[in-house]
Amino acid sequence: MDAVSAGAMQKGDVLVTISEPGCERTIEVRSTVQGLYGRRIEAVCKELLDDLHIVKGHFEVVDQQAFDCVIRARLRCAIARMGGLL
Amino acid sequence: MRSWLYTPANTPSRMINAGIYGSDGVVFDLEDSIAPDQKDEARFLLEEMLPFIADDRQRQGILCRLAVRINGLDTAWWQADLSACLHAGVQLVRVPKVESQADVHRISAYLDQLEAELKLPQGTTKIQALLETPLAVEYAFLIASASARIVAFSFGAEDYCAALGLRRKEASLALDYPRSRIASAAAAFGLEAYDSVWGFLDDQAGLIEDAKRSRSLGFCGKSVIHPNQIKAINEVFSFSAQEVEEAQRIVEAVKLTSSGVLAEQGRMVDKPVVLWARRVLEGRTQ
Amino acid sequence: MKEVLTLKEAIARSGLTSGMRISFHHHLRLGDRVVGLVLDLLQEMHFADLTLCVSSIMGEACEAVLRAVRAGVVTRIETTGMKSPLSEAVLNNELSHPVVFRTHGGRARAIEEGQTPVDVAFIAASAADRQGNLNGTSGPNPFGSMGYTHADAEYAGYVIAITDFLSEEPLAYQSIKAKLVDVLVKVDSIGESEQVGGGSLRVSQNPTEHLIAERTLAVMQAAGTLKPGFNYQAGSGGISLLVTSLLEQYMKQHALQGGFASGGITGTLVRMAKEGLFHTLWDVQSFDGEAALSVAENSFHKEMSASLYANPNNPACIAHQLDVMVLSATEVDLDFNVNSVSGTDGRILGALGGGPDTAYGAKLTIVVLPSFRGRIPMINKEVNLICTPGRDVDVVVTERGIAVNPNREDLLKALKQANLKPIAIEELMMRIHALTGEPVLPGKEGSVVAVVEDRYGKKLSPLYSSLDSQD
Repeated sequence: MDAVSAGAMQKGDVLVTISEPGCERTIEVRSTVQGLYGRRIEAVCKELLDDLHIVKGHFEVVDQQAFDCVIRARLRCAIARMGGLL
Repeated sequence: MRSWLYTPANTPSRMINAGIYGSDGVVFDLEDSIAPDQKDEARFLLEEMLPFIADDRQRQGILCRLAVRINGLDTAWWQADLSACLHAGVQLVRVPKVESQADVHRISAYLDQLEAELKLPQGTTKIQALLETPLAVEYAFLIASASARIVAFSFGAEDYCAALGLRRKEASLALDYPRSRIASAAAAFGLEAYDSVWGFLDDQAGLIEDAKRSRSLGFCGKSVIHPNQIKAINEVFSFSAQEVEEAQRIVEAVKLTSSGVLAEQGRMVDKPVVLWARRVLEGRTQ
Repeated sequence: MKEVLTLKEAIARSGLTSGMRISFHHHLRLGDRVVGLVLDLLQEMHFADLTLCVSSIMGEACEAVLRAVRAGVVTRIETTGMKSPLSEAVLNNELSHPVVFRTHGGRARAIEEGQTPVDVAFIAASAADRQGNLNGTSGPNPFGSMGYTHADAEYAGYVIAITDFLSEEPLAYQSIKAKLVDVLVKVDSIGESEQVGGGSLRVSQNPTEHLIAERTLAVMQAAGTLKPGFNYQAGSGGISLLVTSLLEQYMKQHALQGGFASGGITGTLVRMAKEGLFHTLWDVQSFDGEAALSVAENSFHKEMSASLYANPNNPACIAHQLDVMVLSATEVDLDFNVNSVSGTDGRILGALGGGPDTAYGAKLTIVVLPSFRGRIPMINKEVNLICTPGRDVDVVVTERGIAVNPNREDLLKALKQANLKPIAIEELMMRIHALTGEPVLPGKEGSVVAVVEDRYGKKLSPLYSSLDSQD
């Protein structure tokens, strides 16, 4: 299955892409505020995925300075678009 | 409510600041400003962002009401929109292209269902009905009476003008009738009435003229599409200092008399005037 | 008659050797082509180890300086500010010595006191006459005031004037007198006048910036600043420019006549002076085409040298006569210290400019900025570079709150009375961090790549290299 995305490359937003739904879960974060918030962004993603019991899929998160709640929204939308394949 | 600022519900950087510009309300839009393939993104964003925004407003002491404009009943999206709204704690929805009592009943029934699921008291979610077509305007009275959930009318002049083959800027006269009918039906049921947006951002004078016209026809507020329209609209729809003073005098005088008719500053002041005065003061403390 | 040579001849004649100090101004701003021309030639002529002493570096000049650094032509930089791509190279430790950031007043003082003696000054002028007088107001590429060049012209060992317009008639308006100029060089073009004059400063449409500007005007009102004869200056940032526009409306409405307006002069200020709202404009740098021409045309529009503007050794300098200064910042901390050079994440973004000079001198110093840019909070526990010390900063205005320095109880009272609802800066920071999250601030270890000096030449704060990869 092709990769699925949610969000956008615009200021204050994040583009989440999920691929390889069959593989072990990996999270890759790239952010324009890597130093200030990189670790926090990873933690937010990990927490959400753990809560939803998602253990598979490659999650690519390209961040342009989104708040935590926006990251969660885009993650949840991408997961929903995957439609239960994770 | 004098002013409502429309903000697209899929642009986080705009949503976070929508409430700080001084409008009495904000309408997060799921309809025309969101592309079809982004409707689901916007719903998730509303759910995650609204509590965040509410906390921010509380810290700043901002009293700004929130409404969400959902997609119309002719789309496949409106139910998912309502579901997301209620899950996000939204209590006020603006429904586009309402044209009949049946439309209102349909939405109300679905809201009954959602509220029951979420264990909310029935009737918690209120509706602002957007009347945008000649049919809607004709049915205004019936729509107003269709449900206790309806709290306001909002007029959509663009679509209305299109239906009549008129250009928005040249339609001032033609809009008197629908505006009057909407304001009158709203008043009959104690609803608020908000006038249509003015899309010509460079024409501030036109905005004010349009707003003044609708005010004189009985509207109490107007929707805007850009923060730099807010100040002017708030001013048009506010009571002047003299009006507030007069209202205060009248209400004070009423407290001192037992009969319904009284003399105030040498003239007869009867019940309708007292009602007006009370309304002014209520509007003031909003 | 002043001798006219080629640039190469002039450099050869100047006595410049490797290891010496050269200077440029940045009046041509984004349109400057002179800095590149000279530095590339110096590289060809095998000069090395030069100290660059400039009023600032922006636009293509940043690329030119970077080329010179990489070629070993320039090894030391003294400036009020710099931009990309030079700023990244500095942060990546490409310069062998830390950059020294000075204020406009500090730079003038350093040159005049002999702390930083300039061996050869390269002064671009939009026009020169045969005697050797210079101005920035005639010719095809006028840029206005030559405020940053006076100290260089008066104190440098050798002055090379570079122009693209040699006037046969003596210049009616003269910024730099012929006796200070050693030689003239004529080039095809000193720069792109469109980029000099316009483009960089447009009145903002941003509603958040409008909100902040309106609040700032309200603060000025509440503080009692807006009285007849008040002296005003605002920076060049978007919000500051908006404040000036709102001030114009206010002053017209209330028939308020101010004293002087100073600093970077814009067409708006020229218009305000024409309307009688200010009786004098003190111009150290003209920001647009209208201001550039006005310097020569209007008697109320006076050019001022950086020294007259802000030299701390001159207690009567213009900066010390201000009633109010509105300036922007890259971040502010709980002690009201202001950073205007680097961002919260340590990247070099801007400049010291005249901020510390005017903040010291103005009776009321207002810092205007949004509470966050993107996700980056603008108020933090500690700024990563102190540019203007907190004791000189009175009020911080953001769209999410106004904070008053506790050392100004009078202001706190006045703003409360005016119902502006000032809050503690700690609470403002908390409101902002509640949205952005608390940032992991860059560490203060590693090599020092830049140093901020205060107005008197004392080291104020160091900037550390950021060797974290950013993406």
